[in-house]
Amino acid sequence: MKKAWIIARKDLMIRFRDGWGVLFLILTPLALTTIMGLAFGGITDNQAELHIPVAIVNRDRGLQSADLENGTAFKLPAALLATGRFTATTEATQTGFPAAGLNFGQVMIEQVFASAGLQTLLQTTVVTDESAARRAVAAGTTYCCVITFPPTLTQALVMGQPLVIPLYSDPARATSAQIVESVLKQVVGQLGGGSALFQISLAQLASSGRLDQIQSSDQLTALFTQIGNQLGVTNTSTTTLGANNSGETGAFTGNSLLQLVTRDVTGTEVAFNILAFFVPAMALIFLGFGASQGVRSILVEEEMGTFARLNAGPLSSGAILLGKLIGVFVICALQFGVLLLAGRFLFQVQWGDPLAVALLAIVTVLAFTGLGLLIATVARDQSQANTLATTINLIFSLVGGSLIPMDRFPAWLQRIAQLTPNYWGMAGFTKLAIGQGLPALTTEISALTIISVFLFGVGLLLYRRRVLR
Amino acid sequence: MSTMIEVRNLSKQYDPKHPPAVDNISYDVQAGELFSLLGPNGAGKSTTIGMLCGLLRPTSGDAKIGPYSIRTATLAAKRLIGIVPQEIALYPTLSARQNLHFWGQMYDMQGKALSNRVEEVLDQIGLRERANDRIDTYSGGMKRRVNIGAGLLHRPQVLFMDEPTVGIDPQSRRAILDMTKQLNAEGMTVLYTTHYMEEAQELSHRIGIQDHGKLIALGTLAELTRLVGETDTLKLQVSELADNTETARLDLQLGALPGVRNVTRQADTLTLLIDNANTRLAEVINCCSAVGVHITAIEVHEPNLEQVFLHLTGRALRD
Ligand SMILES: Nc1ncnc2c1ncn2[C@@H]1O[C@H](COP(=O)(O)OP(=O)(O)OP(=O)(O)O)[C@@H](O)[C@H]1O
Ligand SMILES: [Mg+2]
Repeated sequence: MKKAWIIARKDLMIRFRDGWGVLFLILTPLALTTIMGLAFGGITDNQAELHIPVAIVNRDRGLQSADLENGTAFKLPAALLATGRFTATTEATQTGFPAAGLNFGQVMIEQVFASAGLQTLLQTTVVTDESAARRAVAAGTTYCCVITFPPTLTQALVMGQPLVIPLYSDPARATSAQIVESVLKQVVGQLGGGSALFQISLAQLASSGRLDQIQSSDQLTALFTQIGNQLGVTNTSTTTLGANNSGETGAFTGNSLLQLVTRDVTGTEVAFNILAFFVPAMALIFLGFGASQGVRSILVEEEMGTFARLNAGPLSSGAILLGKLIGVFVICALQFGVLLLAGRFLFQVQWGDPLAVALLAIVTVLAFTGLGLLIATVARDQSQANTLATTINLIFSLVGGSLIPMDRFPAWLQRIAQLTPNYWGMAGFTKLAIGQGLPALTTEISALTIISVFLFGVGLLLYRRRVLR
Repeated sequence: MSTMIEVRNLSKQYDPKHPPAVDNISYDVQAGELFSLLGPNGAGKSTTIGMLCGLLRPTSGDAKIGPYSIRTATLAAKRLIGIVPQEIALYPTLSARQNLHFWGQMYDMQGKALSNRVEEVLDQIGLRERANDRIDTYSGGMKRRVNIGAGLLHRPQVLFMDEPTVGIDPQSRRAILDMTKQLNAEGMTVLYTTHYMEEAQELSHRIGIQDHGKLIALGTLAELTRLVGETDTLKLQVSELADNTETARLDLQLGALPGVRNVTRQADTLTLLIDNANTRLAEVINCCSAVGVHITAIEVHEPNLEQVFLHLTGRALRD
């Protein structure tokens, strides 16, 4: 298949001589991404204004959960026991138990999900009727997802027990669901896992020397309440104390625990970058144009007569097609790669795992090359292919969520959208941008592979009929 | 002499609703022969070549290039062939050198041998100086020459040239005709299609006349012209005649001359079909003077392919 490579190389040479063509395929999407980014929240603060509608059901029972009622003792966090000022008896006294009004579900609703950073991303509504909310999600109306805080939320966080927060989402709104899921994971990641919240607060207290001053159960209650205040917990038993100690709470502001929500373990910003939507969106649109334009060169050659000349030569029609497709693939991969890199370095979109990015990019480019092949083989001639490609690319971009986020579409349309490579490309790159890795991309990569196989299959059949008349 | 191209009952019908573009044609072309297919637009010349070089699947019939059937040994047949398509089949944004290099590679040439051969062909087509310029900056005639060069690179045993002189200046045309003769003189078998009878007459050992897909005549120039006999065409341009009776008398007297087969008149031009015109010119002139008609010009046409075509189809080659 040496000749296929020679044909591909020849096509690359021709494409790169067409300087304006290359500029169009790379600079236009970059310019559009910049404009979109500026229009939707700006390049500098990079905050998404998505307002994904989310319902939250808070069934958290604080420390009064079933386990406590069944007599299981609440154990003081290790940092407190480590001070040596508390004994086993402190654990057993449930009635005088400190911070009994603590409800992390409430804290999350009032502080975390109400924070300015998340509010541009999510539009949360607290509901009590969980099943009604889920029905709304299933019907594709009102909400995109339902988050349910389980009864044991606070207990699990404080005691470091495993925690499951159910997220009910509409698979047709995959992109939004992924964003919500990623936010939730960050929140849980911070609050959960070894009761990080308390451990960290207590550690901070210990390091400031304030733990040493605690001598009694009353003082402990005051401390817990203080932490609760810091978290924004408001209930009768804590407000007064919190108000009394308002001067002291100020000491915590520099280390507001709520900041944990928008920072991941390494301390980097993980707030969703709106450009993580526009970079793949524009890259995919122009990949569509690039690929169909590339494969259309078969028709250009057909009209120039060079295609006949190739076919009259001692090489199979398969080698010719392979050469053409390799050329298209390489050009498109370069184009797409440059756009992804521009997203990374010009627009600060974090794609994460390079292997995952490469794999996803390859299947995406393949799928679009297949689409280009199908368009070229269906079309009667070059100009028809041109019209067809423009139409299909625009429709696919729209339906596939490259122009308008999918969530604005009715559920049935979102399901149809799953037939387009644009949809899966968007879903995959959004996942990457919100920090997910290869394992999370199985569906997208498989879907794009299946789409590629289908498009190439049909395209090849039509090509064969076209070559030998 | 061995047979290089063997065409057997070859037919091609693109569309069942239309008559076939090539209709059951058979002939042999010998090795070293320069064979022309002459026919008007739409006669099926390009379709024939398309089938012979494996681009079009024959509806029926077969052909062999050397020992290889175009149906069953297409790839082997293709290796023996070089083609010069009717339309310029080159990459306009690449240079002549790059184009030739590419087409050479498509015919399994590579390395030094290819580079040398590309320079040789550039010399042959007289474009060495412009070789690094993009094809789209060339004149029509220069493009045609590169188009031919691309078909020659791999020194094919058989060269198909499909109307290689269409739409170019007389100078380039002359160059191409000379090059074709030169290639043939070096032993290449050439199948040349054209609708210019002058080219077919000048170049060919043998000529096939194709019309509406059918091969209506085949032979050397002499054999073909014999089909219309030894009749020449004599064209007389005459001064205005006094009156109709005089005109009728002239027609009658000319028609009565020995060897004259037919007299037609169009305005001031008289056309006579006459055997051995050169020996009878004096009689014709005397006859005109006798009735007081003044001759302003005389042309004698010996039988040519134009007349053969007219004779066979009742139509002019170019309409
Ligand atoms: N791809 C095609 N599909 C359908 N009909 C075709 C096709 N190519 C040629 N024809 C028809 O076949 C007939 C022969 O065409 P062809 O091109 O072989 O003629 P030609 O002798 O080469 O004419 P020209 O001197 O104009 O090049 C014409 O009637 C033409 O319309
Ligand atoms: Mg033709």
